[in-house]
Amino acid sequence: MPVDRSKLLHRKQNPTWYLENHRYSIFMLREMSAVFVALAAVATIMMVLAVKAGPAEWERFLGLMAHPGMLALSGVALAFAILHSVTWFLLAGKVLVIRKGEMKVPAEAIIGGHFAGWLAVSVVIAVLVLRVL
Amino acid sequence: MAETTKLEVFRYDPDAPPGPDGTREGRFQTYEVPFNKDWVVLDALNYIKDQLDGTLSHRWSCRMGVCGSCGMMVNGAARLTCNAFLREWHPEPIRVEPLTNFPVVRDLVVDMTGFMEKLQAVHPYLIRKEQGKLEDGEYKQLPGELAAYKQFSMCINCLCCYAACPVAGFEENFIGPAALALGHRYNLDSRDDGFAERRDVMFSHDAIWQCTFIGECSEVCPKKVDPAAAIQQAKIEATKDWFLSKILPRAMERTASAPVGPREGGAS
Repeated sequence: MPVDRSKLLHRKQNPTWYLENHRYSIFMLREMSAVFVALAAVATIMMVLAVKAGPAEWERFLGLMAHPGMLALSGVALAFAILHSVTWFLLAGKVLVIRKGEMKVPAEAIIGGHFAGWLAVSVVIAVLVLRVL
Repeated sequence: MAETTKLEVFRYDPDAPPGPDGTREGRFQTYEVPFNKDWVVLDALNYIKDQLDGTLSHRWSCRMGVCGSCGMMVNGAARLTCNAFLREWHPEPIRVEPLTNFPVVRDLVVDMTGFMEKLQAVHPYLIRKEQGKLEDGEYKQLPGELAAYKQFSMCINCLCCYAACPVAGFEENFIGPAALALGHRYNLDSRDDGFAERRDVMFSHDAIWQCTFIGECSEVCPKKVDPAAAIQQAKIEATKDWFLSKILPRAMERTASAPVGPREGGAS
């Protein structure tokens, strides 16, 4: 007997679905992290413009960034940027398919490669920055 | 008295009159069943149906994780009830609901019509430019070629992935994890020439690009198909396909107009 579509029950999705399990919650945090990563990008652009504008503007920029509110925002942005990077790298194993003959390179190796690359780039940048300072 | 466990089972009677505002609602009914450490939730539902309340409706068949009929929400998670032991939750009560993101026909039975249409839309079968002759035997394939798609071919259409996917709940037209994984499986098959045939559906807004990579579809999949991986890999293929269409438009036209073999089904 065909289903009488007029009698189907349509249950509504819970508006707080992202609180139903921790993986949904982490996904939402990963999505939100984009806002803070964008704010960090804006701060970087402001820094470049301040350098271009000369010493006075640069000092003003440093003063702005040293404000307690700005320091707190930077801390939150850093935490979200790390969350974004870590969760993204953990997903890389699913997306990248590298085959060696019949065997697929395991996801753990791909994820490990990403983290190793991240570490290597961070070390290079840290060395460059510390030398300048 | 022997040990028992409580099941809070979702009930919906389509023949009951709707409320004053025209809305229809389900309710939960609590049943007490004997606790057996070797029983799965499906055993308990069958006990209810046979011994306590013959009006309960639920789908099941093989009882061994092969047929994909008994997918339901068990304490909020999409599970095959034949693979969800009472001892996982005992002595806590177990709440059994129909799969979320699907209309409910009755009690624990959901309407699969929309899914069947989506499944057909991705042309989930081998499409050949030229059909081989019967006397030439099967289309041969190397182990490596089989390995390229085998994981994505293990789907049993239990629909747990749709119930776990919030996007499937928000976007009624989203083709969804199982159907997209199967479309990708055929695109990866060395015997298949149907990439161009599937392109319009697979790479459309309602398909892979609706996916936000929450990944819960892969977490709940009882056959470890990993539809989230299939969809992200298909996104890479779609991106490569788009760039190629800009760089080599003529070659792409040839691909699109390649003759294809007869196909079954028809919805697209």
